Amino acid sequence: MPSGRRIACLLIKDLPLAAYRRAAPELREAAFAISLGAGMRAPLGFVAPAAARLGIVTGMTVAQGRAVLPDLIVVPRAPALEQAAAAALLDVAASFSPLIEVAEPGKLFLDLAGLNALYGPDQLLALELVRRARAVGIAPAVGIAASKSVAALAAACGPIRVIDPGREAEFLNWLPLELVTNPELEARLERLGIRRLGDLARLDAAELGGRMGPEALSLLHLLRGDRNGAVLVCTPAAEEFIEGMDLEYGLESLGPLSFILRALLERLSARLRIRGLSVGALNLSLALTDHRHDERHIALAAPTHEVRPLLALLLLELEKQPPLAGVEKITLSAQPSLPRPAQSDLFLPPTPAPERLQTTLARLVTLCGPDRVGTLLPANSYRPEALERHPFAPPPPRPQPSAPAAEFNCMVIRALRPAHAVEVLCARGLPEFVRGEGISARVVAMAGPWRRQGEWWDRPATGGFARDYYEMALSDGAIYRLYHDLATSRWFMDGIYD
Amino acid sequence: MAAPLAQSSNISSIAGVFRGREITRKQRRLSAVIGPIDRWLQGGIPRGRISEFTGGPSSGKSSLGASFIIAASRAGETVAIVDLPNAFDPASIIAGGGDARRILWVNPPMYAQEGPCFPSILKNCLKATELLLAAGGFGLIVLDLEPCRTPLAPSVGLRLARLAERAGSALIILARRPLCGTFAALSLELRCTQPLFNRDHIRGQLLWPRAGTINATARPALFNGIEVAGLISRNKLGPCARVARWHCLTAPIEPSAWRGNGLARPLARRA
Repeated sequence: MPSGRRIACLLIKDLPLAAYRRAAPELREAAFAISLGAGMRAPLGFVAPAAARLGIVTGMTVAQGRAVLPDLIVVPRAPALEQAAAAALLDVAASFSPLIEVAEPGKLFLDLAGLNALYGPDQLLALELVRRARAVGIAPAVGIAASKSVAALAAACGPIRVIDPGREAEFLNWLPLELVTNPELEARLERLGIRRLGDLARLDAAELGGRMGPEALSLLHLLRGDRNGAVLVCTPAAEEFIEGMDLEYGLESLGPLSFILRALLERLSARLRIRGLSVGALNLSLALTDHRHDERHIALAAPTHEVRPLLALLLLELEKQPPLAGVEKITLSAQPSLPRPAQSDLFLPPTPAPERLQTTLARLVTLCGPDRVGTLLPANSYRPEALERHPFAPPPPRPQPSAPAAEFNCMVIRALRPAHAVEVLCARGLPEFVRGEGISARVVAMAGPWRRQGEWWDRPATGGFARDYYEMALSDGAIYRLYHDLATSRWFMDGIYD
Repeated sequence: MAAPLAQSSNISSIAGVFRGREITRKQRRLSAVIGPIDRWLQGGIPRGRISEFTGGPSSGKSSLGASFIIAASRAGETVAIVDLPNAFDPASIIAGGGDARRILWVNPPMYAQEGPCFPSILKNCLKATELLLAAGGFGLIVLDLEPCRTPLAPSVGLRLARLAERAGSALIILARRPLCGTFAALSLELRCTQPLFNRDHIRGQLLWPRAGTINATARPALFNGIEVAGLISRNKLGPCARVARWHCLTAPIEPSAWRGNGLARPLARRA
């Protein structure tokens, strides 16, 4: 056995029940059971502790359960919820270490090498594991020991159990057989007076194997520590985060759907947050009652894990184009994205914290729309009004040599988008009077015309554009930029110098 | 060793270092890096406060706001513009030497025009401004409320003032008339005293012009800019009623600019 090796086992007992508790917190203390089929004759596969205390046992039919407990809540098995709960458990483990082995859904092993330096002793590490698991809505049992097998038994014994190095034998000696073997072998061993694992140590391995079979022999190997060197078969963590829900009937209005989407987003966000990730894009898949599927892709202007802007974006998308039928099943997947790192400098101007900036951008996009937030730059065109919008990603601040103070201010133009059509009265070929919506004034001073033409190489049929630009000071006191479109012989006002 | 000591002597001028119980140091200013304006405003507009630039069309308020945008972006600060009328022209900022990559443009949609002041649009504008102020880290936020005619509710002004103070960002409001009332620390009234036609200026060397008149026989005039007169109508952090005059000039004509995007006017010179 490698010296100092520590393995943690995270175990969710009764994963289907835990998955329901995660999706519906109101079921946590409720007496409910999961049926393995439809109808009153379907057997109950999993029974919550609150129901078990009131006499419901696994294997009863739904009708029998209701006869014993009329208020029994019976729900169908939900594979989507179970997969999401198992994935959430994997996320909890991946937030600590990449050395993870998934033994089965709801049970995994985690190599704790080097983590004590970050989180303190094993007890604190186990508490942190449980805290993060609760953050994603699950409550696994945690066992920490020197080997996988002992860690798994420790997890099976209690919510948090840490087996100190060198005390594995003491723990195993105490262990009742019902935790480590099947009822048949347990009964056979009990007839020989063997009730705890430690009692097996007195027996000869060859004799035990010959009389009780290989399973009993494996228990002896476990007791003697022969399997402590088993290695972890690492499982890569998820690249896409998926949460889903099957509905009992088709939802046709957006109101109830928004509650479900919010719950899904909250669970996704919690999973991403413990992994230190943000949502880069969302994929929404809706199974409709008419057996069609509705797929949506929502790209975000900036990664975020805030539920509110994400929900608003989803609802905006659904409002824009509602599903064509009732929704029976919802699957929401998030493409993770790393938050933008930044290093602040004491002697440089402060900049928005990347995480807060991303969240703010996402909220602004929700408020204004994706085309109305970003960095506005002139497009590569000869048209003055041609602009390009880019995602806002300011470069890190850089000290620049301070420029000498200028003696005059730069004139800017306030653009009118789209350009206003106006009527220009000319005398002797020169503009004299401008009339249009909200404007009626005489030309006081004027500069121009400056001809701009282009795009004839792209649009030979129309000949591109050709305009004569003027700057006109009108009698209303303002200075406007107008152009005469030579193709249509119409006048437009496209800016005010201010 | 000398360099760190020299840097540490500048600590008092760094954002985030405050004296006593103040949230934002009152002497921190955002400079326009334009001599007449900085002298007039005693160093620039106050950070962490609301500054209003008011005036009618072609009064020079947008150009004055742009000078602060250019200066802040050149200094490496992040700038945001909440552009209610969708009038922001990035080419003007680039022509003035600003770094457009540091400027976040937000344009709330025009849902409906409801009278002289559009409550729904204005609400989105103010909400966007509050989000930007709450995010922190923006050196300057410009709120362009040019179409707004009626003053903001006192509660709105108070919220903006408090958020600006907490964020330490300079907040400029561009409007036709004062909107924030007592919550603006600085209120400037601007007006154009003279449009500058008929003369050219090359690389900042100005030949003093006069208002031009139409004459069919004369060669086409050139528009160089405007002369602006500014009055400090409210100043909580300094003297009021100070007047200044300066020139807002169009971008000087350089041969390199002729090849740029949207900045070229080769035909103008030929004419």
